[in-house]
Amino acid sequence: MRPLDWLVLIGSLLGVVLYGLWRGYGSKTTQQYLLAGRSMPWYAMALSIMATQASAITFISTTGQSYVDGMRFVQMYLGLPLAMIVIAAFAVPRFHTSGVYTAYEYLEKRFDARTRALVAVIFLLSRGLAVGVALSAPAVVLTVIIGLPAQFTTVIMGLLVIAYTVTGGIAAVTWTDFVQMLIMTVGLFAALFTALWMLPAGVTFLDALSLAGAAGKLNPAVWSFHFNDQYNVWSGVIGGMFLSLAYFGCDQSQVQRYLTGRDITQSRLSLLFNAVAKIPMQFFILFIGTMVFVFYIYVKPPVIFHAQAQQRIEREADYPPVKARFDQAFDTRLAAAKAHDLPAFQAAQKDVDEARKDALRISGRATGNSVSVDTNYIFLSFVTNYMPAGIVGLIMAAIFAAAMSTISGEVNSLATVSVIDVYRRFVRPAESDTHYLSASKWLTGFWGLYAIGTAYYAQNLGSLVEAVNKLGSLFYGSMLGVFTLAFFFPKVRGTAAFIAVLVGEATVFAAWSLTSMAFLWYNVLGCLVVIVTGLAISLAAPAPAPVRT
Amino acid sequence: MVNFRRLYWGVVIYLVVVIALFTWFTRSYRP
Repeated sequence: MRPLDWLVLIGSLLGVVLYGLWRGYGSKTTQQYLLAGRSMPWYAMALSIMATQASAITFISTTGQSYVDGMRFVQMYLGLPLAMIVIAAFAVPRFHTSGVYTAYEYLEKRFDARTRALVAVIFLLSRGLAVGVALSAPAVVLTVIIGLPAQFTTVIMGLLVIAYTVTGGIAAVTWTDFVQMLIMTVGLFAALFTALWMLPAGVTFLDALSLAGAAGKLNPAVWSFHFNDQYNVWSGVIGGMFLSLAYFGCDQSQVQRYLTGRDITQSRLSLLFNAVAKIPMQFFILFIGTMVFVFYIYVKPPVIFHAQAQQRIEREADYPPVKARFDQAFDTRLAAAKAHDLPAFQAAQKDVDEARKDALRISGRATGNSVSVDTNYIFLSFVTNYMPAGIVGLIMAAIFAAAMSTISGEVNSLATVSVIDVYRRFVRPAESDTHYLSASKWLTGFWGLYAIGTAYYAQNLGSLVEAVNKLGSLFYGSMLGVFTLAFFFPKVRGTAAFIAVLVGEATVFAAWSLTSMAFLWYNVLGCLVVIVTGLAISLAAPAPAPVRT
Repeated sequence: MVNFRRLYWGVVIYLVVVIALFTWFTRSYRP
């Protein structure tokens, strides 16, 4: 990082925070603070939804993933447009007309207080686990790249988020998300064009495509189905649709975005914008990773991208032969690329991959880090070592923007659920609006500090971070199931829904511990079990009186 | 007044076109 990069990074961070403070100034009621007075236009919500979903890990890890594994990851998003249609058509009008603050508040109107409480607690648990990771994961990576202590990065990022989230509430969060998404977009374009511009003279865009294709990196559509592998068209459309339905339809960190809409039309438009924009954005990010791959065909990459891990394995006795094999394979691959000899290029690529795999094995043994961790360092190592001054700062600003927009959304939604579904409903139900406004601000501050605290510990958890992140996805299926019951099965009542959620959770946890099913399918499983159980109970023991919704 | 029914169908057609393009792209640059 050079002075110009620091200037761009610090300037953008301060600019975003000041803008957030200005935009969020003057919330006088709980409704203004938590729902922006239901005044948001569709474009602000649309970019806010996008920014909340795109975390720093999306930038850091997804680009690395396509470097290693190609573009097939994009298929995870193929179900998203369909999910957006379902949510826009069925969930948005119900949430809007019932005038709720949270999705879980709707469950009480439709079922009963305990179903609402159960699902709200599931949300607080799963998001509470994830928010620390969302803060610590980029801090750990940035530490290695820019050399600041991880604790420092965590605290700075956390405090900046707390500053505008506590004072401005959702209006500040949404408008900062809007700007942060613009920064991310500029950062992404800058990354792609610089990567292409840095290819050696004489290597055209079509050459780059043909080399990346020969190495198996250009595979955004895989039609062969495997139940234990989620990166194919079938899993992407079906599993991805369920995941998106759960995330955008039942997770308060997203639902709250479109609850701020001026009317149903604005909220629906914001979702449909995402239905169209999300896949190209992910394609774009993955494509950057493949172009980084092409760049490293011509410029020798380190065997391992994590700089400290690379230094560490150089002391290992069995590393030199691996390094020699890597160098040899790299030279052969380069010669084949220059000669456009694709079969020779593919054979050499296989050797490069094998040598890297062996090096990662040695590194795993020496440092205790999991093999997949290195993927997180590929893109940033490229950015900091090769990109021009200014652009590095811009990309760092984009990564900070991605991290902060995700964390602010999560902190804000955790506070909203804590106030609306727990505090106002069960602890102090008859206080003034000023009291709840003040409680919302205090709880936003609490969740912000909680995020910093758990991030601090998450850094020491190593590969457990991954496990905690996956643990969050264990809860989505049941949440989706109970909302499906609420929307589409009017005969199902509170008791049936409550028991169904418990059975759904038990089934997903059983599948998690007993099978090797791909995570994407947990959403489908949990959802279907909740629906079937809810229907079975209400058929076996029909409720006596209908409940008005 | 926005005609959402038409927009929903537009999104479905868009998705089919995206998958078709991805398939074409994958086949064109197959290893």
